[in-house]
Amino acid sequence: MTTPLSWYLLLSFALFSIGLLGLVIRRNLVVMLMAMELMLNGSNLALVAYSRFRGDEAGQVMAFFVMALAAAEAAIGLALVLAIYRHFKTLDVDRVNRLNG
Amino acid sequence: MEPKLFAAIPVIILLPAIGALLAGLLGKRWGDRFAAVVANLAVFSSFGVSLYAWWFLSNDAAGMVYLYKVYPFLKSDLLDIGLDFRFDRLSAVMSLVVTGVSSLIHLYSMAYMKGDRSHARFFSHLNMFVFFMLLLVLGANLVVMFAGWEGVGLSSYLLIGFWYEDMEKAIAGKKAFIVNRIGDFGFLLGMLMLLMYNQGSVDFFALERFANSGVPPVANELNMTVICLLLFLGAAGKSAQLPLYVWLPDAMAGPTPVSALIHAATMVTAGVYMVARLSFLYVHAPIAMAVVAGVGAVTALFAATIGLAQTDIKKVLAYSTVSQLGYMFLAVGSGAFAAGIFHLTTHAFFKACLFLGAGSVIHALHHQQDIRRMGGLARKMPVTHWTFLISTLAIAGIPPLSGFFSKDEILTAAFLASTPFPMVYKVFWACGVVGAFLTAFYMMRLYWLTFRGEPRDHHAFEHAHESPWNMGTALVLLAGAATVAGALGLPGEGHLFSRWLAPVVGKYTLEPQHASHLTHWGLIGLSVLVAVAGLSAGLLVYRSGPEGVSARIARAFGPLYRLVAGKYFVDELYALIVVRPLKAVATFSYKVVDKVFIDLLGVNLPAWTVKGIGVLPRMFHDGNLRSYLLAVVVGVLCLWVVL
Amino acid sequence: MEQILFAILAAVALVSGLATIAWRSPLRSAFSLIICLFALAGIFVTLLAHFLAAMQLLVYAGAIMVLFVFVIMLLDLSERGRELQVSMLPVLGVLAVLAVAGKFAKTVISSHGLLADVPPAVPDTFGTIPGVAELLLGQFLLPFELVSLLLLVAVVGAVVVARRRFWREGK
Repeated sequence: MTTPLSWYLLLSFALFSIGLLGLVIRRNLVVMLMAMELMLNGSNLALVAYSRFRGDEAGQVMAFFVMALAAAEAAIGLALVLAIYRHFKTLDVDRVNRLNG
Repeated sequence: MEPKLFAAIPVIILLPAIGALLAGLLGKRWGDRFAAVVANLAVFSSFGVSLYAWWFLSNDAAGMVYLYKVYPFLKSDLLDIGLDFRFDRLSAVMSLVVTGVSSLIHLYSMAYMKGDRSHARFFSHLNMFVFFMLLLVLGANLVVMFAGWEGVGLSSYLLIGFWYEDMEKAIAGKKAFIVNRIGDFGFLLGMLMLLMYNQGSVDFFALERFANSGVPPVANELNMTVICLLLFLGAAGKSAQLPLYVWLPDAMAGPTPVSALIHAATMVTAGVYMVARLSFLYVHAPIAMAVVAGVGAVTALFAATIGLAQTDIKKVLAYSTVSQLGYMFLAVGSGAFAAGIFHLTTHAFFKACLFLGAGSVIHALHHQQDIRRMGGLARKMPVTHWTFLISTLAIAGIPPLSGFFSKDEILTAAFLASTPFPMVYKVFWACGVVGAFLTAFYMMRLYWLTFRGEPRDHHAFEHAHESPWNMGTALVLLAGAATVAGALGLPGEGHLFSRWLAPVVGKYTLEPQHASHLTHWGLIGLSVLVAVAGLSAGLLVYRSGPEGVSARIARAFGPLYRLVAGKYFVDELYALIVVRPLKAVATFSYKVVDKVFIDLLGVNLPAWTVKGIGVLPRMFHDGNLRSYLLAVVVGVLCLWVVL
Repeated sequence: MEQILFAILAAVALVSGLATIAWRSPLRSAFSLIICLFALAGIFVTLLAHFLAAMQLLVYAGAIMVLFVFVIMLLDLSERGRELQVSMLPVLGVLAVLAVAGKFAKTVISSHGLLADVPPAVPDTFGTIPGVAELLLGQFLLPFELVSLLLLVAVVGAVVVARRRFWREGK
């Protein structure tokens, strides 16, 4: 008995929502970046699932691009984390609020 | 006759400028001595070059004018104004008087200002004054003249307020500057009118040609009158005539050499020089001439009466200066331009000598200026006493001293003036005669209370001493000049002075009405009589000191005396009708226009409005990444729901 | 059988995903995330995406997460201060996210009949290296090359941003 597409989609959305939740409620920048990875993976899952159920490999190629993008984002994001930590001596986004109007 | 180029003119002007710069910039570092010597050298050499230029001019043809064009600094279709200098016979007289008297006063200042904290600043400003004064008298057009005119005003302001730590003196400087500004406003307007009518040129050649060409609208008598009156307003401000004379007595707050140089001998005569220089305009405006003469005559009398009751030695001389300047304006207003300049010259000598003598006394008595506390100084200070006496007799008009010749000539000119209003001029003449009597009277009072009688302040008297050699030299030379200068103006054909000035002003001098020899000699006799009477009256009243006869007279004329001693309360009147309303307007502008309209409604209200509107959006910009994220999520959600 | 496998993997992914955002220590979060990525790799296999599953392990779990762990260790961020605090912001955030999740769920459930229950038959090469590579180096050649360029830019950018001098001059 195969798994229906809707299950995959539900899992995908659940992971995306968990990632979003983490992004909104956590204050640590590194954890926020990880939450973003979680969101990307959630969307990746949807792509791969559709790819399977439509019999089209292009969805996997998209997911592959997303992974490359995630790598780039992680590299830049972590470099920024390093710079911010050096400058503010903290990664708490509530304290990194120099743009406060 | 074609004017010649003459390179010595800018040298005359530039030497004091260089002196001012050197003394001002290096005086602090290289010491007071350096500043004083440099300043003296600059003025003396300027005097030397002036003599040289004068020598050239006197050996040249009679109507010769030397020019020096530095560069045309405003040249367009509408304007043609150049930085040009002009050395003709009138400028020659003026520059000789200016540099000559300046030189002696510089010499005198070396001793007088010794030990002052701002020695270098004093000499720098004094040299700067000479520079601007020369710019004024040597300018070849009204604009250059105006530049000098403003420059001497600035120097005067700086030197009156020289001891600026003293609030009163700083205020006196400000007063001089502001009152002069009223006059300068008139000068400027007159000059602009001339620029308008004379195709953008105010060069003296061009003006003279145009004034005589008879082309409307310059030949229009009304225009001419307006222009001349406006220019005379400037002259009245600078030369302290009614109603703008109020600054000059206050200007005595400056150091005494400054009073002698700027506020007696040179700067205050600039107005007379200007009227004489523009004689070709004034002859076309008889009404303006009458106004000039009238203001001069009334001022001469008015200031002389105030001089009667002053107790400050310098204030007496200040009112005397105002009065004598009035005589000069009476002269030029009567069309006797040469006589005006002649009196200017003699007055420069004897008034400078009087001021320097007063300075010598003040110096000796350690800044005591009240003549009621002097007396008997003749024994202690022989040089000062004798030079002061000579100058007193000169200003009173005793022959053969210079003042007699120049003043008598003015009174004769006023009596015989050929104008449309001979009777009015007779009144002016009467004012002049009464003024001459009063002049002799108050000068005798001043002389007697200062130098003769018994010393009334024994402590000061004991410490009094004769002044050092350089002060004495200046006094003696000036007294000598005051004695012999009359020889330049012997009546009739021997009048060297008017012959010298004839090429410049001769054409415009109004020929006096024909009068018999008897009239002429009668007028001369009257002058002598008036002078002698004034002196004798002064002697009679004040021989017993300030408490004797004079006090009884003062009591007898109680209200009148108080009116005169209070200087007719003109300052108070001006405060009431000019200063108070101005202050009210200023307060209104400040409290209502500035505070309410500009600050509150114009600046703060928009700012507060923007700030108030900004409060709400500001809450979203808390700089917190998470709230921005939340906004993104909510935004996406909203879009999703809507789509 | 397949459904059981999916259920297990999905449960692991959800739990470790929640753990990722729940741990106070960033290091624990990182390891939870690695578990989550492993579980997703398994799910990719059930979807016949073999190549992608391998990439998931190599690139994500192998490279990116190593970078994360490396930074966390470098900055020594473990166990520092109270991470969660009570304020309006997280509460609002949770509400918003719940709304998003609810919307997702509603969409999926309401479109139940439209979604395929059974995947179509596919050739053997589906999801293998040759199958994906043919697309990647054929139809998607340009994006593929652009991605390599993007990665180059990212590397250079990361070096520049992380350098000390860059920020000092910027001040």
